[in-house]
Amino acid sequence: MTEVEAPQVYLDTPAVDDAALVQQIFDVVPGEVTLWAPIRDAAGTVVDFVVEAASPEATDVLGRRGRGLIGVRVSTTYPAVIGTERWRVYERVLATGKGAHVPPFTYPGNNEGIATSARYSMKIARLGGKLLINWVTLEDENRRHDRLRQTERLGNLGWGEWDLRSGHVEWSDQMYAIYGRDPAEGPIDVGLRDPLIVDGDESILAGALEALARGERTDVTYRIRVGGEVKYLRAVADGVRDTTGQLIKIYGIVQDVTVRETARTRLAAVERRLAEQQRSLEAEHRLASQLQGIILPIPDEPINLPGLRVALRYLPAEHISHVGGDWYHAAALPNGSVLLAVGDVAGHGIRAATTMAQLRHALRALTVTSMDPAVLMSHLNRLMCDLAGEMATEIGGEPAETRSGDAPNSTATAVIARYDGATRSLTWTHAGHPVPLLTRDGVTGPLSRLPHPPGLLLGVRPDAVYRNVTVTLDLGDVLLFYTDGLVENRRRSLEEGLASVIRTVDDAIGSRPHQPLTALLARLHRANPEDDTCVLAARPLATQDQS
Amino acid sequence: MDQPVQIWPDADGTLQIELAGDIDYTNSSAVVSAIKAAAIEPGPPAIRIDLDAVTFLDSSGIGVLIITSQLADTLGAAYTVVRPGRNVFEQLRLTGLVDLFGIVAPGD
Repeated sequence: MTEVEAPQVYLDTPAVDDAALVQQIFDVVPGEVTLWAPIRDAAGTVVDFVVEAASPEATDVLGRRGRGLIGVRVSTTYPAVIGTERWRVYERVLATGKGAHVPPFTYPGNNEGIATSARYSMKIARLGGKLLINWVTLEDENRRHDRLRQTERLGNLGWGEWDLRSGHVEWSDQMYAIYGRDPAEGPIDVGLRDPLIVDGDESILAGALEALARGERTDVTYRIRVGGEVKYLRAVADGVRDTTGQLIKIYGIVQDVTVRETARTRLAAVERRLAEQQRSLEAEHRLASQLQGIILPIPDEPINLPGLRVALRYLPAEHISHVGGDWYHAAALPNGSVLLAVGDVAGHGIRAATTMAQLRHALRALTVTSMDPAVLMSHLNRLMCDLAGEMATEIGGEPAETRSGDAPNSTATAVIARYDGATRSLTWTHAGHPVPLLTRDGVTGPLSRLPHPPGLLLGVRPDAVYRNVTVTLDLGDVLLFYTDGLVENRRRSLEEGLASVIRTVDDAIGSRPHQPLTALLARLHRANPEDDTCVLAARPLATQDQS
Repeated sequence: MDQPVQIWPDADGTLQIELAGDIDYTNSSAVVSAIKAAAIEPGPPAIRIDLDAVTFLDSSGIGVLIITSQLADTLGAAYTVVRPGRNVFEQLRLTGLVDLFGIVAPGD
């Protein structure tokens, strides 16, 4: 502790013996000021001081205030001061009359066993043969320490200082707590590598040190491993440099942000998983349509067949497991007519898709033997009945219905039609399938009555009978074959579903009678997201259009 | 949701099967299993399916009717399907099952 010259304090007046007068002055003075009278021994050496006057705000380390301080002996009350440099300052000021300013010091107090050290800064002047002591209580050291400790604890903050010249490192209590270290062990020498740092994060600290050396403030987050646990620490640090610009000290606060970081990491992981799920869902949808595309390629553009232009649209079910057994066929027959078909295998999934592929290929092959829709349908029915038997054998007698995800039996519906461009006659039959629609003169309705009797679902009875109905098409007619996904919805009757499709087609054709078939199909929406839907639209071509 | 199927034998031994709600791919396998379990043991003289409470049949629901008819054939039991609602009847008509099972139209 050193005194600082305070030339502004020169109060060396003649002896003031009237302590009462001084006290009157003190009574109206702000701040903490006291008048000390020296007590000398026989040799004239100052052995003690006694407080003769005190300002109302004056408070000592023991909590005595104002006039309560009068009569207090400094040596007995503040024994710690005797023999200190400050004591010599008192003597010198008293001897020379030259005031002094004592920089902040800590006075260790003891009040009824409770340590109450306090920090003061003091101005000393001579007044007569006495000392005028003016001090400022800077802060209660303990309170400040408590407050700091609590702040550190609440904020999970540690404070550290590293003197680069001496190598001395100082840590606050919370810093030890963060590092899981006993304060008795002392701080980690951060001049070396932080031994607890997680591999891969050393570069973060190294980068921070470089930044500090450049004179930048740093704010980094790194990880340490404490007792098998990984902690995230955020360190905000700054440096102190000497007059040459050399970094001499680093101080900073370290905050344990593990909770925040792990929450953020977890959130990021959840977000990542969600994104992955989203992607796999999209992949599933893509796979569904790819699968369908492989088994049943749908041409984007209309295809021109003899006397007939045909367009197709396939709307896959929303879920892959519902990718199903909808199929179509549109091809020229050897005699120059056109065979059209749309079908739907009961159930969903790979088995339905397989059956669909078998039916479709069978139909193509069977046209070599017959071009009669009803005959072809009977063949398909027997094929379906055979397939049902095969499936029962395939699974070793286990009842088919116990297989999850499969329909209890193997049935299918279909419409098969043959169109002769020369006569514009359309001969058609169905097996348990909705009647195709015909739009003529802007009005849409069923193509014709059902064949009589109605054709039974494929795969129920091998002896089922199918009959044809023949109608004649006009130029400008639009023929629409569809599977029940277009109209069937569990909360709406077939009739209502059909009415909705009819309205859509009427509106489309009413607004633009000769619009492209693909544009017409684009207007149609699947009624049932659980089911896939296949729609075939056809328009007779005038003879000169035929290729 | 209510049970999709309730089965009990009549005084004369006819197996009464009452279907309810939507019979579709989510429950048709269980419905068929329940019907088979109930029918095979007693070998009933007749099987009667009541569709009064059915709101919707998808293709696998229709499959329930077909499998039960095949089961009745195997057991030598008479098979009837009764009381379809209007929508269900329309569906069965379209599939040709109205004629096959001799189903009477609603309101007749």
